[in-house]
Amino acid sequence: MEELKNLIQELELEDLPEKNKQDLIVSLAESLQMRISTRILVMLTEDEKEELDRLTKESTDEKAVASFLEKKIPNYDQILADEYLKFRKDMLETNKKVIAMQAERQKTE
Amino acid sequence: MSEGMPSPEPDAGAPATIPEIEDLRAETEILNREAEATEDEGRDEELPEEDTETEEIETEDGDGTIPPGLATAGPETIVDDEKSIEDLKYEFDMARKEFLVARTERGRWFRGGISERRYKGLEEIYKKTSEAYQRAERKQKLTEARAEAGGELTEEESQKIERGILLQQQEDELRLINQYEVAYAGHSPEKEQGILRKINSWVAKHPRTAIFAGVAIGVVGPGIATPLSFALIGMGSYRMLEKHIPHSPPQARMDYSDEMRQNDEEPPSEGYERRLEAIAENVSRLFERSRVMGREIDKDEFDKEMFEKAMYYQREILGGYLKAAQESGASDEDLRAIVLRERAAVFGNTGDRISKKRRNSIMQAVAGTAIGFVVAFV
Repeated sequence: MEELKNLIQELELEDLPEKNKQDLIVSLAESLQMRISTRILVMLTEDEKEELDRLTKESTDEKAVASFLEKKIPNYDQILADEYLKFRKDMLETNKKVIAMQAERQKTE
Repeated sequence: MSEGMPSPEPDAGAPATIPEIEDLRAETEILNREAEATEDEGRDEELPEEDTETEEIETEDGDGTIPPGLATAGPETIVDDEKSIEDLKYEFDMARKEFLVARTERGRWFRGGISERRYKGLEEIYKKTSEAYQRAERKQKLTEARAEAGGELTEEESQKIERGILLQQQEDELRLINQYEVAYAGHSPEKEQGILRKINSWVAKHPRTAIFAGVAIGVVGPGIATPLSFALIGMGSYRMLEKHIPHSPPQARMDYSDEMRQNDEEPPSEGYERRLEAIAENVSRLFERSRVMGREIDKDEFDKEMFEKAMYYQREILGGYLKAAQESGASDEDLRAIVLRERAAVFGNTGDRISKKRRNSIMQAVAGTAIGFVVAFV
């Protein structure tokens, strides 16, 4: 996952002021995290969701939940890699669009 | 308090409350007693000493004042630039929730969903509030960055900062929409939200997900990486919690807007009580909806939510009314008269100037009234 470390550089935003950079990093990390989570949610069958729901209601022990998910999601690393690649692609595309939009705006100004 | 409105009862079957709500109810009672006393003494009496600190807000032509408490409900709603960023964010969050609920209920108006017309209206509100908030946020962050840089930024620097903010805003918004939609795609949205929250928590703590801390260390250094990685977990939970609250179509606001567009001539005071009833109905539906979904309702959270909604709708109603009046050519004096009449319709007091304390009491009284309605309904 070395690539992720370079995402900010790839977006050419490595020299943003610290505060802005932190905000952006938190946002990107949260987005990636949520993408992974939603992908896992979609992968679970209705029965598995029921079981997970029952587990979380019956116990506050997070280890039980972790153990359940580890069993059900054995290919976590692959999911992580896939989601990162999609995320990176989306971010770079969005970045291009924003740059084009800013250039367009500058022309009209 | 106008006739026919149930007074908020502090106890009598009311849900367990947080201290602020108890205070609010107590203040509402005090306000009611004060209002009764004021009626006896006449409405044009001189203000008590405490009112010397009254904050006056000049109208555009400077020839009068609008009561500050209600001025926040009116002109601020009319002119976006005068709203605080917190207000804009709150409106944006509310509009998003309402729009996303509408999207799931779109085209099902015959089965209790919403009509296409309402859907379009909510979409428009969502877009406008999103533009207003995001623009204000960018402006604020650019100002902060400029101050941080100790003065001016070059055009290139400004653009780069703006680009970073735009990317962040888009990601934040997409994430919120995505998690909502994934949850609502299931048979039981509340349950799905709960499961998604658990999965997200697991993902955040998974050893392989150390990539997040890795990003921080690689780019911004360990000094902020450690708190950042901890903050991620906390923020994730907080945001999920924030989203994990009941939604309800904005019946009160839409009823009001439709009514206003169709009949600008209706005297303001006549419709106000009905609109407050619509607020109560909306809050009541919110409660019912949560119960139908089998959600374990946190009473404190519910009270807080109800209070916020009541405040929001109160502002929207009067703000929307003033806007409609302004669009139809009302003068500043007319607007001021509307504010006073509306206030009189609800609180039985037409005093021109009010103290800050009283302003707060009035705003709280509106929320108290809504709570009273809910107690009566439930």
